[in-house]
Amino acid sequence: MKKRLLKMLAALMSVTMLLAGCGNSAGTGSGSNAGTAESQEESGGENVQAEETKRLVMAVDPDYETFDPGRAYEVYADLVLHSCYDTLLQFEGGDVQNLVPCAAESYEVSEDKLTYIFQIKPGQKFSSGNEVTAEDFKWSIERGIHLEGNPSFLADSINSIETDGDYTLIFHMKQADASFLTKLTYCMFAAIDRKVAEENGASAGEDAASADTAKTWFDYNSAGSGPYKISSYTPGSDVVMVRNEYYSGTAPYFDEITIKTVTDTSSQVMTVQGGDIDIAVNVDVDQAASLENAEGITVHHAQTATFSYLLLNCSEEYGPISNEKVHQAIRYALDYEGILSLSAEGTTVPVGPFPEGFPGSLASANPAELRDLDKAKELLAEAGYADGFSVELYIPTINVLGVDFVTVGEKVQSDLKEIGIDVQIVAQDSAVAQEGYRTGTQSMGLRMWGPDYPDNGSQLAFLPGNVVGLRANWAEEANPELAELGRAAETTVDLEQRNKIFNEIAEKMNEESPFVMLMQHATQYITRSNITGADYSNRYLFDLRNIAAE
Amino acid sequence: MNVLRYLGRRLVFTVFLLIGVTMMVYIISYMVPSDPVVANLSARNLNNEEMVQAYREKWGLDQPVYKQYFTYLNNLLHGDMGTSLRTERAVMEDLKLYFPATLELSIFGILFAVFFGMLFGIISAIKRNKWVDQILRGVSVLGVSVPVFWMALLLLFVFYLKLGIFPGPGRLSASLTPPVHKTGLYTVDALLMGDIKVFADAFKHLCLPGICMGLFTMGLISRTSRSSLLEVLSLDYIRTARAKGLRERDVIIKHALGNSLISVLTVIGLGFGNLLGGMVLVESVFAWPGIGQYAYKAAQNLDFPAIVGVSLLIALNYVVINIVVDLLYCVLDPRVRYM
Repeated sequence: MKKRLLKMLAALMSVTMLLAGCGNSAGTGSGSNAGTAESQEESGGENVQAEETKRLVMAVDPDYETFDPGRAYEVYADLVLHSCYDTLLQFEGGDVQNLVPCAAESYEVSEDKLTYIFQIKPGQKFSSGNEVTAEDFKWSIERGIHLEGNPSFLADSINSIETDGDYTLIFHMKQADASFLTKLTYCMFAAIDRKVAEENGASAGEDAASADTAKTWFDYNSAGSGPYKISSYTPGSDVVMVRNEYYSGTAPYFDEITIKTVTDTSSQVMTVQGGDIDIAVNVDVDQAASLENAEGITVHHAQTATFSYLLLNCSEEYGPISNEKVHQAIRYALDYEGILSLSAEGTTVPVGPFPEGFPGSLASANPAELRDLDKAKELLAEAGYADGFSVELYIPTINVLGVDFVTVGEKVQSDLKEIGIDVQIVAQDSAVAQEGYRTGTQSMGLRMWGPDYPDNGSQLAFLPGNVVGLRANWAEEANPELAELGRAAETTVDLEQRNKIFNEIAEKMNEESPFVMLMQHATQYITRSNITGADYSNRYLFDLRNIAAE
Repeated sequence: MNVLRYLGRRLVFTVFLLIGVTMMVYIISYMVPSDPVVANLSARNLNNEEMVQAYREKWGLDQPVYKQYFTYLNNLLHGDMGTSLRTERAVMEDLKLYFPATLELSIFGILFAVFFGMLFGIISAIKRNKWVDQILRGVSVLGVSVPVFWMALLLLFVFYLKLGIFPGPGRLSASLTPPVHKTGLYTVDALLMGDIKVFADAFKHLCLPGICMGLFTMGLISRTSRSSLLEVLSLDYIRTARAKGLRERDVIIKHALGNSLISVLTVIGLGFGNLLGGMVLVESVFAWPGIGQYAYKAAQNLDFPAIVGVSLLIALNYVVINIVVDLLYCVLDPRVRYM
């Protein structure tokens, strides 16, 4: 009997060894993929030995649903689209303050700011080898407008587009739009190879929303003039980009970029530690802290433009919370230092809805100086609620850049209890909470906001009568002065004057608005130590054109 | 003949089951206090009533739920499972993309679970209450009770990061190109292409997530096969076999094992059905692009066509597995054929 048992155990061991033997040391800290001599192993689906390939591998938990430049409007899609499609202007690296030419070599703006004339660099080519012309730009932008997809609002201020010869593109505006040049960095304004796109079902006609059938093609292919082109896309798995051999600009360092979908943050970290991944984007605060001194890994900290805020409903239907003095009392009652301690290192409190780092934003507030409980109680008494009141706080059960929203809500609840406000937390699935937010039926809401584009013009949505303002039932009549300042900011193109207006709005919003800014989030990510140029960008997440390896 | 009649009955039942599944999902979708438009349109476009209305019309969301349901059923009868609100691809295409990854992993997981589960169960039964039995029962209990996400991270940490025996997350190394899609099962497609390198790499990538997925079922099979075998070993005909002087090995393999398999088969069937539904946490840790992740994203975005599609697929999996299990009962126990 013992012999039989031994035989069985031997069989068990054999199978285990067989399984183990299948493995190799692929993930044993063998070093980065980047810049190492690896074999290029592709040829029509077969893997054969070929030339050395410089390959960058990233791990992300992406939100992209399409790589159609006319339809995509998700944060992670830009990682791919900015690498494959040239826009007229662009931001470089992590900078979002200084626009530099990309496909355009120069541009002029008319005095009334209603006409923009771009000269496109001659000799640029799409990945098909076709030349880039002004007509391609015109067609691509009109397609984006007529598709009526999520990014189409970016072109709301355009009246018409015309071309003059092969390399001159002219925009006629409906009204002056101070954010227009920044908006042009979006891929909806990139040049698409019209010929290739039309062969695959694309249309730029007014009926494009129904007539255009190219989305699926664009999901698996690209037709741009950027330094890379999409080589393959496996939904839920990875997207692979290879060099556009016709690219005429400065060639990027890497031959190939693989962006892997790895939704679990621990797995992302382990694969960087194991040397299989060069950049892990979604890293928790604790994970980053534990890796600060890890060999071969660099931990990066960056400030994002994403912020979290409290929305206080202005409609009298919601009782005391609609009172302006109550809004001020809440602002003074919160312990901002405590709230910031829930987030990553580098998180700050923005002044007004304008993220620090954007032109025209004020420096962040000192959290230690913001709390004044006596003043908060005084304001509450002035409002006629000295004994406090009860209010529901709606919270989506989400985690924003490592910050659990319910925990933040509990902190707000405990802070407001000190001035007698009894906060009842209503935690909801994000889609359910979004519905209440959209219909303006939340008495009090904990929300997050990411700017539509890296310009404070995008933040004017918070003003009375605008999109977010109306979510709090804050109509234009409630504060006509702020509404007027907002209109001035939208159309003032002189940078200095515009920044002054933003400063004024920020200070007023900090006193008079139904929005209490809680934190401008910081983020952290890790790279292999030999990776350079991996700066966080509030526009592209990362500018993959600039990343290299030592 | 009985078997054919049985199959016919099951097929009719299947049709009603699938209709029931679609109806349940639509009723739930009606009851959810949210709106797919909100989940899928950007904040800017949500403010534009024309955009919102156009979106509702495009996806038929402006119709009453019962109309949406009958339209869906009509399309389904014509082989159209609708279009995903999130990916804007045909749900059928999405399922073809995601399901093979889950199928491949589930097959590996169930093979692992059956092999080790049966082995442990048999050894435990033979060595009842001895130290080997105690250890193997402990392993089975661990397999059933350890949280799957924790096990996934532990396996990854030990066997990928520390020991380097298995590769990291994903279906294939970044340096390799996936095989041409024929079945969607990388190992099978690689073999069809004759690409041994890709086959080996894909197989290595299957090991850790496959073991992780199979552990729970392995625990169940081990416990069930142990108790079932012990029950059979206590029956009179086994005593008779032993009294005739048969070797213990023959008694177990030829006389006891076959009869103890019926209840184990039920567990295997249920376990396989469970694996085919996808395991979101395992797929998440091992970056596996399977049906679990697809269903999770669909639920997040209130993507009802995709949710119905996944529900139908899972229901169909169980139906097929149950039919196969029932047919295997007939093979294992001839009495079933005459019932």
